[in-house]
Amino acid sequence: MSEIRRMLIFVILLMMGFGSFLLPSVSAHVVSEKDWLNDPHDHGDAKIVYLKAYQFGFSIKAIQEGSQLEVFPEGSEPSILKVDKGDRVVFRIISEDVTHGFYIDGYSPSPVDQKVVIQPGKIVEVGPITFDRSGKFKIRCSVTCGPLHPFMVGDIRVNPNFGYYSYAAGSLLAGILTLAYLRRGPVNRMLGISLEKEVDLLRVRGIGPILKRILQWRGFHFAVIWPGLLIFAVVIVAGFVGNPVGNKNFSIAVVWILWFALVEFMILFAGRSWCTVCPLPALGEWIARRRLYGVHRIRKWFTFGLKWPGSLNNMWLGSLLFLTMSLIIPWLVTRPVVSGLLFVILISVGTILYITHPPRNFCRSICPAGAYIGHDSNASIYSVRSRDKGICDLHKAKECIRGSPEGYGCPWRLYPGGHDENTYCGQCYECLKSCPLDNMTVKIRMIGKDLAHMAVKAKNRFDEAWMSFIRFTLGIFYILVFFGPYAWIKDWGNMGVNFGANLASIGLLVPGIEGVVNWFRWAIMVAGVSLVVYPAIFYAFSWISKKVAKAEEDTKRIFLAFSYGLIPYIVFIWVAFAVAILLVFWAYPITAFSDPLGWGWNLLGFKFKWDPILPQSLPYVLSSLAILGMALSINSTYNIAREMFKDHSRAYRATSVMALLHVVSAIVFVWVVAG
Amino acid sequence: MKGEPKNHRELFQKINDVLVRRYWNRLAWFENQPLSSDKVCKPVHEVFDYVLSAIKMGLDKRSETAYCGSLFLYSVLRETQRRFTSDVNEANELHEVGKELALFLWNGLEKEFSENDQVNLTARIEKLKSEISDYLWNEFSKIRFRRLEGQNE
Repeated sequence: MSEIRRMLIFVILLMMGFGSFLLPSVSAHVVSEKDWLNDPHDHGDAKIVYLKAYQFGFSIKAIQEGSQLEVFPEGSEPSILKVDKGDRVVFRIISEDVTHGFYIDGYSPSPVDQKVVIQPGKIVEVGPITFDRSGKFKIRCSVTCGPLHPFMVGDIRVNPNFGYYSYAAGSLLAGILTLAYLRRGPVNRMLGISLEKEVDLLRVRGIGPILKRILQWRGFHFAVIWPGLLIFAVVIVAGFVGNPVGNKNFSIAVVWILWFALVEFMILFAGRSWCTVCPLPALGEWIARRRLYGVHRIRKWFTFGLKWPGSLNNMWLGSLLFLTMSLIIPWLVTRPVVSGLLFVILISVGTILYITHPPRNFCRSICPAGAYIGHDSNASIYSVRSRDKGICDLHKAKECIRGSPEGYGCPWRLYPGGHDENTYCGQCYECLKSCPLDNMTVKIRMIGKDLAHMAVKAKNRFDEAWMSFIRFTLGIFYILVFFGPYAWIKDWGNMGVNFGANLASIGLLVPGIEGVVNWFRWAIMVAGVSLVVYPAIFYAFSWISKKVAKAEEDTKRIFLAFSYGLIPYIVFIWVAFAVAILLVFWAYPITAFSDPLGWGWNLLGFKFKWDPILPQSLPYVLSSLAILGMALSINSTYNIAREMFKDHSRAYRATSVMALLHVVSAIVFVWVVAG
Repeated sequence: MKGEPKNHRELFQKINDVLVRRYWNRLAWFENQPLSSDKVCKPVHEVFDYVLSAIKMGLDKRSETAYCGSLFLYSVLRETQRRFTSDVNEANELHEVGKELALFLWNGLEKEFSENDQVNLTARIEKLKSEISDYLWNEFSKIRFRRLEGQNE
């Protein structure tokens, strides 16, 4: 036994030695503060970078090369360090406020093995680090330092930044290749794959019948909702009484990291499946129906049965609420009490509205998550559809609308037998249960199947067009704000408040006048870009498209129709965002299940420390996803144009103009993540 | 409505026709266990019970009678060991008949409920139920007898 133990220790030591051989040489030692700028050190040919860490960013005070010291004046200190490939750099870092950490993607050893801590009043020297790979690398804070700690980053650009140039050129090339493919005039195809092909998932041998039984089981909806309801209860409790530090609190870590990311994948692969499990309207639904899952027809519903105003029967409220939430996103995703309050409000409104205005008007028209999930899921590969619309047309009873002894009528007020878009289908599967003809099913299809006919019939859907613009611009904004090096933009959104909060410390959230003024600047900037600037650019391109294509349709119609072409792009940009937050912050939500209140518990016997997975690959992974989204978007635009103009040549010319906008957008995205 | 029965005899005949084609034909006519009146008239009884409860609860006549069509259809499907039908005509026929039956019953019972005449109400319910059940059972027995005869020949 002891032999085996000795061998194991030997192997572990060998691995540790091998590991340290692979890792870059990073050392840290503490010297006194007065040495920082006044006492330049000699590190041979290494550059010395004097770096300031503060809530919530890094900035370069000075760079010393040999005996030359370049000092940046106060207020114009860069947050992006530019070095050449092969440069050796020593970082001399101070903290201006609280204790911070220092970690460089791809160059620092795992923060679990070696954590560089920068305490106020002391200088920490890290390096020399030889930047032997070109590209863009993030400096991250590795010690929880306040509410926006997870987003405290700086940039290092190791020139020549071939990665950025390649991906920028790749965007252009992908645009050209997509146009070259479209020149052949493919009908009803998406990047070579037929949009006609669909897989009837419930008839797939093996899995189909099992899935059908599950989806038609009356208890299914209840079974998937109640765990979510329990999680929501924990989210609300943790929000109010848990640790005020966001990344240690269940309400932030699980909702704004895990849920936020997983929803984006769900949109792509499972449509509105989040709405299947969402507990927000569940209480109202159970109270109104007076049942948890059975069909209980003979009792009157416990509702006021008021009619939902027709003017609200669209996506405007949901989109504007999503935008409003995005304007307070730096607070929402970092302050547990703000998240807790939001969920109390949402669950209360969802419940009350179900009782006053049944059935799912809250989900259709108010829920901000429902609005964007519904909108984006039109690019999903997943859909609930009728097998044969002809049968539905012949069928007089329409149990999918009215209900049957096996299922309720569609609570989303759709005619499931005839619908051909995902926007308002909440995937509750009541139609699968209530249809006596077995004509409803789940179909897997190629991305963008519904977009062309949706776009062409959408004559005045400004709400859906603006949802596209809001989602598209905010996707890039979120990456810039949360993963960009510009601390000022985070500070503006954060109203300059450096405190986390639970109920006990809520008073610390009061912002100063300057913070409020800065927030208004931020709000005008974000809302201005998404509501005015980008739509105006899009309109201008639509107008040019019309002219180039010599189309008879008016610009408004082309503008609205082409906005649907953005949806695949939006989905992939948000998937890219989801990949980034999952790879960097995966440890927080998993640990939060073991310690939901952030009080140091270890309920499930595991805890993980922050340790990003392959963060150095993020610029390229994210850029690739955006380029794929762009190509799909160009193809969707062509399909829409072809359906609208009924002519390949005009459709192609109009698409070429819009492709230019999409390529430029992709290059902007690549610049944000890799440039 | 086109094809709507003019009187209750006509409605009973229509129910009978649909049940023969869509329900009784799928039952084992000559199984060892004798078929009971309850089994033969099950969809009708379900609609009857539902209408009674719905009127008592003061539910909406239009939507509930339409729902009774589905109830009738699902009752037939259940009694013939099916969850679905692939025949849209069958679904339409059964639904239509169930709905008409519910409307007939609703109209027949509504007055007594509004006048709250319990004695008259109970008598009326029993009368209606036995009238329709007897009619259907007789029709079923006649057909069964004819078939038995045909089999013996």
